[in-house]
Amino acid sequence: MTDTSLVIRLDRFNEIKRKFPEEIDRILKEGSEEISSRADSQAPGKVPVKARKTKGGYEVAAGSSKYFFGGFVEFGTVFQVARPFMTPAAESVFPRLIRQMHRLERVL
Amino acid sequence: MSEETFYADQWLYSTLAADATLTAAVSTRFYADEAPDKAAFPFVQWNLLSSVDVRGQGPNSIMLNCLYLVKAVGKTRSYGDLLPITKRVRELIDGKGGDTLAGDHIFSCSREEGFRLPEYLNGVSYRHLGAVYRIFVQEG
Repeated sequence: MTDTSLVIRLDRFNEIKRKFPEEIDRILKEGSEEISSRADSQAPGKVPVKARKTKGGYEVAAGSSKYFFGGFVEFGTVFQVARPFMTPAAESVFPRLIRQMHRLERVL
Repeated sequence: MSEETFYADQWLYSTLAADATLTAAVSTRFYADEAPDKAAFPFVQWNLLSSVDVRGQGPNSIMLNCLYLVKAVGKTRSYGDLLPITKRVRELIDGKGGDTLAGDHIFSCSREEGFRLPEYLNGVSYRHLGAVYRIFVQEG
């Protein structure tokens, strides 16, 4: 039964992931590496930025036990202006990731 | 970074500083980017985290897609002290929009995630509590 004229579906990611596991992995890997690369080039001082594989996909992490102050740099402190380097990197890469996912959805 | 972020700053300031509840809590201490060295606490501060142009098919930018961190900062060990301020900020800007006095357009402002940060410096504790808001802005 059709009871609406407009439907926005947000339920196909699992289907895409099941049908194109290698392609999804490649998109996420390249995306996380690009975010890491862009953030690393903007990161002040020696804050290390690395992309790494996790159980569910990939993550990009800034800082280490020695360089723990990435959050203070990104968001600012009481006496220090914020100098974001992670968020701009992620925001600049996300649109392309979404477009790539959308292309996969079209061939389902 | 572009001039549209300046209009977003103007909208944030005019919206927040006009509210009697907020001014009762922080007086006139609303700061973009950085608070003065000797600013009293608490205060409200916002920082631009990201700004990306929204384009159509052509070369022109339609509007700017910004992420702002809007937070209350206090010389305290308790986030609870800052909660009334951040709740009021949320009531004033989340899901809101409008034009600046100069006619620039804030199409929307919507909260995306919460934020908190503890800071300990020279034996003094500070707390930052707020949220990240996505603001779409267009020059009028």
